[in-house]
Amino acid sequence: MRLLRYYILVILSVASLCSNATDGFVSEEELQEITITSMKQMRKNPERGDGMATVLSDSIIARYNIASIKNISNITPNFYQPDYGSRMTSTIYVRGLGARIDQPVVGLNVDNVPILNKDNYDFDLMDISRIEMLRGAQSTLYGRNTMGGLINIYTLSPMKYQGVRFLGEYGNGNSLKTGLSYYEKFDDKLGMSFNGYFTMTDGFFENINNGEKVDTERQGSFRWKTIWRPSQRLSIENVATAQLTRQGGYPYASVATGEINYNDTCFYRRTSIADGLTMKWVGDRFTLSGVTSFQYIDDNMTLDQDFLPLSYFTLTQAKQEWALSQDIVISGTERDYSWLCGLFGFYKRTNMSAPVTFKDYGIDQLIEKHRNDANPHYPIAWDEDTFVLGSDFCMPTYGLAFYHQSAYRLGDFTFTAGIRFDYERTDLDYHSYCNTSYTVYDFTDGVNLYPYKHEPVVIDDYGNLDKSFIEILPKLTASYRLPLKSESSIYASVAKGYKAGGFNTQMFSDVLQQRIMGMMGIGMKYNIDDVVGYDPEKCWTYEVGTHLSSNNNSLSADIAAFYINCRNQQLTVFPDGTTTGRIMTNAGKTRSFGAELSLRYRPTDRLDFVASYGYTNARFVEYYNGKTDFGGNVIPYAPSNTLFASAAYRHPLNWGWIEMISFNVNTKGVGEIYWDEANLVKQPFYMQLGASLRLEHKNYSLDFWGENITSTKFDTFYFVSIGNAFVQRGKPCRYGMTLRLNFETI
Amino acid sequence: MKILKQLLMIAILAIATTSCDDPEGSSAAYEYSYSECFNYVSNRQSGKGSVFDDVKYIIKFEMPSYEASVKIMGAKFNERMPAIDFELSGLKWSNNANGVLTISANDVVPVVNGQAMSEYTINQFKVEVYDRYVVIDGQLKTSPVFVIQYTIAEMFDVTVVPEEVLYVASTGVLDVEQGAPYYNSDMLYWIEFDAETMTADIEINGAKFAEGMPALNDMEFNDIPLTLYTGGYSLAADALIPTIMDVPYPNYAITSLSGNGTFANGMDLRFKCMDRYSVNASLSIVGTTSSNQF
Repeated sequence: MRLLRYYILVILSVASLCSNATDGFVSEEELQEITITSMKQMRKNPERGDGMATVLSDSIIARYNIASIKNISNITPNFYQPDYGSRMTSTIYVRGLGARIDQPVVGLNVDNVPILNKDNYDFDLMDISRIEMLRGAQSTLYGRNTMGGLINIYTLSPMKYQGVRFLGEYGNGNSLKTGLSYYEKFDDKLGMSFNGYFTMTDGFFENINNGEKVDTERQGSFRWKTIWRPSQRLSIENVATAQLTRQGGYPYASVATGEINYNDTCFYRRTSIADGLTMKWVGDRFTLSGVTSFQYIDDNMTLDQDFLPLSYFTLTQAKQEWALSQDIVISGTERDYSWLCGLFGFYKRTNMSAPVTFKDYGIDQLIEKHRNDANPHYPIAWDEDTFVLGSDFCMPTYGLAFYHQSAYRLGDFTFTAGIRFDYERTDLDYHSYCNTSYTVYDFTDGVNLYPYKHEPVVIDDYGNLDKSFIEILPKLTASYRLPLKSESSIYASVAKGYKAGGFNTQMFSDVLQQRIMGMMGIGMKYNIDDVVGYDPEKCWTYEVGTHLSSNNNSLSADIAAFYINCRNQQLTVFPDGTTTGRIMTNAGKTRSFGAELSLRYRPTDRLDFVASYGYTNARFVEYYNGKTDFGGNVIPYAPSNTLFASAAYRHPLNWGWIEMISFNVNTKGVGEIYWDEANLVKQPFYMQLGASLRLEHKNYSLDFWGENITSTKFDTFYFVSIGNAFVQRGKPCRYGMTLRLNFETI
Repeated sequence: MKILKQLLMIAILAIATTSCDDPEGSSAAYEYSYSECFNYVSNRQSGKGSVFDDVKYIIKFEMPSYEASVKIMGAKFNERMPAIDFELSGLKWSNNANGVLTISANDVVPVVNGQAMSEYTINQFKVEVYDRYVVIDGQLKTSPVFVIQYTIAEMFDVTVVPEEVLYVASTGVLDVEQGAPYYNSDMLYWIEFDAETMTADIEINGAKFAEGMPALNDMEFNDIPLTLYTGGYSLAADALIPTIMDVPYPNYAITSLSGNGTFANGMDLRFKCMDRYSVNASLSIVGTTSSNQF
């Protein structure tokens, strides 16, 4: 409350400086909803802005049963988020850009709150009212980790809807979703909503080692949204959320056997709490907005790291993270000139424990065998069946940025220039530890083993690393409103984006393994900073495009072509002079070019056709990993084509209990996807068929739906671990029904 | 010294001369104390060589006068002679082209207990100090190398032998089975000289004799028979079993090891490993390859 009073005091102080009213940047009507895009974009509708964006309305969201950003994969051209592993391993690929580890290339805001950790990107939400997918470098206005784009998710506002909503869904795999929402508008100034949501599934993939399904999940969330408008000029929104996820996860099948078969436990659990406070004050000559957020994550990923029925090793990564962020934007419009200035700061602190437990078979195959091959006359035997390579980390990160954007309208032309000065610092305090031992035996007679020497293996290292980055991120765009009755335009833009640098803590296990081998006299010893530290990755995006609409808006098209130049690609390579181990480095250059097309045709109010296609040609320009030169090869994991097509038909029925019946058939396609830098393994292009039938009444709707109806077989992920190849298969045919109840109060 | 774990960075510090225009005329002195050594004394008359340890050298370089002084503490040239402390002063020093601190003097009369002792006149006195810096376990440390050689009374040739010295090297390896040469300029060689046993230990850091072979840390060749002579040494062993982390590695057996070197320059070392890899290493105090940061 004290903070709120402080905000009001600051805003009122500024207001006292204002002169007579002129056209504000945002009209009073816009106060109905404060969005991060309306705070920072020069147009109300990002789909008609000077870039490529896909906006999904609530009707589209309901039609395709979208509950997470994973569900918009393929619907949006050149946007792909594969479903593999767990909700922590979600990776987004946009126009050939993506990252399996650490920093993402796409930013995510939920009700204006920036989600600062990629591990927290994958979650389900109920009552999503809109999703915006802005493609292309967004770093000028949104900063770190938005060099591929930005996703904004907005949930339903109690100022727009009042009443009770219920969701109940059941499908195969014993999959259940249920949710209950209550929206209340107490008066014109105050509204609140409460939302509870629960999902569960028994999964579709079985681990034959124990006969149990591995991809089980239980997930629950709660959301409390408050909107308060104490005056016509001031609007305040607060969204508080809590989520729990408990997941089996990691249904990785061996390529050799086609089976999921591993003997150690795998799971992912997550608890997250977030609160975002958004405030907007509309003055006569300028608008002042601010977003304050707090986020807390507590999660644990535990893996059978070898994914085999053999006891090699297991990995646990348990972390707790706190994050605070603050974004302040001031904007205004004077006739043909619009401007905004912003200040952004954040602080994030992560405590992580990541022990790797070596088990008997792993000790035998990965350590003893390697060492004894080098010296069979004096072999070693480990003194224990298991030992732990421990790593604890504390990673505080903070950043500060100042940004500005100006737009000038000259007739039908609009020219926009923006710049951002971004500073970030990240620290890594680490503690690596191990306490084990082995015995060297004398086997020189080839018959008997005599103990020769006992060797302790004790590691107890503390250290600190830090990195600082300063980035200057410019942007230039030009757009021209076409001389048509509809809102149509063409545009060109160039913008710089970046992905933050930092430390890849997963490399510590490599470091410690090499350290142990080094303690036995074999192997390269690493400088930890060289192995785990990496600098920012930077890119320039060049784009041209057009937004076209027919005069009656029955037909709309968005077409774009792009070229992206990436430098200092964050990659894993083998260091000079060794054939074992890996290090993180900025070793590569890539380029990506392609095109996107989105079409929507609504010849009548009953028919709706949607189609989108994205093409990306993304290749390494330079990438030598210490052993092999991959220059010219296709970038792995990013699809070269995405395709989506949908046809929907609505027919009114006046049967009393059914007012409308709707049919939808859709298809999603993606591929080809290369799984490795050498381009030896790939997933060819594939398509999935979906369909739904909806019975609709003003107070309820009942959907019967199917996804991947023809059970197309495909792989969503491929990797190699200790010489063994694994894949995650795509989900089979899924079907179910969804009941939505809607009791809106008038 | 088995503590080198990181890339060796060796730099010669060229002592900056104090400006002659310094109005204050400020002076500086750099003093080195060198006790990790022993004297090899060759008697010109008898032709015999003897080793005397417990000797210490204190070398002082003064600026801006470019004068130097040397104290030789515990010097002995034959068994019957007591250990004597010599003081040499009024010497001149300079930087050579490589930044090495050099003292070169002829017929210097030492002072012993305050008295000039002409019977111990030191002929052809030569000192070179390589003021090196090395990175050990991530920390920058000094690792100076001293090359000291002199003659006493035209009778005894004294060569100061370091107890251990670190060399950089250019190593060439020929795989006699495949005939393919392999070159490695990252291997480092520690040589330890033992005055009592007259043997030497060689410790190779990052031993790697083929492209696909993982680098071995601290491969040691122990107890190699050592022959000292004025200004230099030689090593020879027909066969030996190397150790790594004090564990013998018979499958890496070393044969036909020979080494000839001078303390002023370095050593040419040859040996065969596994009866397959013929190794020829040129060891030096200061390298010339870019990988060694000279």
